[in-house]
Amino acid sequence: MSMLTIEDLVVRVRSQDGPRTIVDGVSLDIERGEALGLVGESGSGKSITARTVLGLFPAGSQVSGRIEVDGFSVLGADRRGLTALRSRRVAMIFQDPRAHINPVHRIGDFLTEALRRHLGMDRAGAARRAVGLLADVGIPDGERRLRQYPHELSGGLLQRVMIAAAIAIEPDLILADEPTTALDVTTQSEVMAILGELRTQRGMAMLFITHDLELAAATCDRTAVMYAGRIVERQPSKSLAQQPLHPYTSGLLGSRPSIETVAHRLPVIPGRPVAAFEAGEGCAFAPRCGFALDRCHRERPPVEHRLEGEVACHRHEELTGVLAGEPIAAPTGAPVERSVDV
Amino acid sequence: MSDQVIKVEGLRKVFPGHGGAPDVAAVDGVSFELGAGESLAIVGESGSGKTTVARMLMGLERPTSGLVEVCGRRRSTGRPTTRERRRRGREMQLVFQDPYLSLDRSQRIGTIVETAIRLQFAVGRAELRSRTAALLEQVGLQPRHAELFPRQLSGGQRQRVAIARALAAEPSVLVLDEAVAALDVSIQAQILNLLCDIRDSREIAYLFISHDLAVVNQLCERTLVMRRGAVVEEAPTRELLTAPTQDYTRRLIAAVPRPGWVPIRSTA
Repeated sequence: MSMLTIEDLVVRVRSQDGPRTIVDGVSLDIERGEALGLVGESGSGKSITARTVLGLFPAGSQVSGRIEVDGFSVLGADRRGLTALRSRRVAMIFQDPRAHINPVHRIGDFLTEALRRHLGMDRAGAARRAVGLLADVGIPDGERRLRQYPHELSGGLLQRVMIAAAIAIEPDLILADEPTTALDVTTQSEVMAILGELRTQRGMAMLFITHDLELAAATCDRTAVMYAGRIVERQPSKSLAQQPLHPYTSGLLGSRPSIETVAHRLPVIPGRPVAAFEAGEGCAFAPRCGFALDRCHRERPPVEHRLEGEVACHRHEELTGVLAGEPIAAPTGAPVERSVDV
Repeated sequence: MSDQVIKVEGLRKVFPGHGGAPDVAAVDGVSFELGAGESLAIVGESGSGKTTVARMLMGLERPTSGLVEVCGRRRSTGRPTTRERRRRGREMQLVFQDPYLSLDRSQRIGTIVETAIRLQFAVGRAELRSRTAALLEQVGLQPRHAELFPRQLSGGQRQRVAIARALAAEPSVLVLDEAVAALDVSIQAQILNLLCDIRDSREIAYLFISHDLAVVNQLCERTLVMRRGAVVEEAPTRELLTAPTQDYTRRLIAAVPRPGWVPIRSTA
């Protein structure tokens, strides 16, 4: 059985102009120990999807579909069931640790709370365990850190504390929502390495939410790309980056500048990303797509299964091999013009 | 060289420590030059001092010591006259990271750009209109956008307005402080192309403050790497990325996710 199964998830939130669809029919699954990257721009619905797994959504939202964590149905679960899920099975790591760690409590209180409350450990035992957890995330002087307050730690250190708290309950599934976006690149590399190690050692599954397609492709087993509340493509990360099936994925890969090549002008996706409720009848990406036909504007493409993965595009068969993947590395010293395909 | 638009020598900024803590040298002996029409990137992680350098250039922060010259004139640290401020506005303009905070929300887009033009040039109403329209067109906005308020625009469009406002003064240098960092990937590419087009169409120098080596590679001929207030390395960008001479630069480059990248853990 999958660790996480989401089927046809639809989330509508309340707004002044009536209910607005934010997530529109998302289906995905994550196996035990697997990492799935969920990539999208702002408004794509990626964060809401992750929060819904914990039963967290804005007041007045309408949620339909099926979410199962290791067979436990999240939607429709009672409060006790949700508390058990959040405290023992699934942990979440947020983008900004400062907004999610209580600034008036010491690091030690933050780290030992779950251990004492949910695992029934005593104060001294929980403190010993917390020091061990900090060591696991690369903080060697744990005893001193436990006595410090959040403002005394840098953003990178605090994010490691957040990860230590997340793994403290030995969850089966970690939901990581842009966990490195606020961090420096060298710290990002550390945090991703730590998450990767912990995941393989403990067999944890991870849903990794990011706007950075290259980061997801490099660190996750499979990657799904979201646009306007839907998953438009899902593939093993390596083939997704090399041979994208959806024009949006290809466009994203091409429009990101590279440290290896220089293009005089970057191939761009025209227009701006839209949310699900702004999309028309047809394919939500059609107004920005260089390959769109009449049909794309009229009919919403279904998710189709292929050998490599899944894609929601009317023209996916014709476009196989036509769409550009990641830029090819330039020979040292020679800048190479990137081809413009989209 | 007489056509230098920025010259910085031995720039230093010390912030007093709080509660008995020692003073902090946020910028400690930074020197660089930027020629007319050139583009220079200052790259560094948080706390490297790159933004403090930009703020001192703009006169938002007073240097503890060191020399700042813009367009061949030394920037004194005293309070400038209104006339001097205007002159400085024609020399250098700034584009900030957050297009949601840097525009006056109660002014229409057209008014924002017109105000920036009128501050610098005595032009009649017809001329003002046509210049505003030309600026909006240059940054990829349509005439109808002039009637809108900032809240009616997307993040990328607002950043276009911020760039149009900066260009209105026809400055010799544009200082861009993480100007594309907050934008979506697809919008970031559009703004980077816009910055390329602007440089192709007029003589303007860019000082580009960023943490993103890929963005810098796309836009800047030369790159200066800062760490803990000091310059670690300065070289043409291609050279810096392909043959870095400093360990710290190598570490920065190694940390950029790319095909085949594996995150590295340096601590045990």
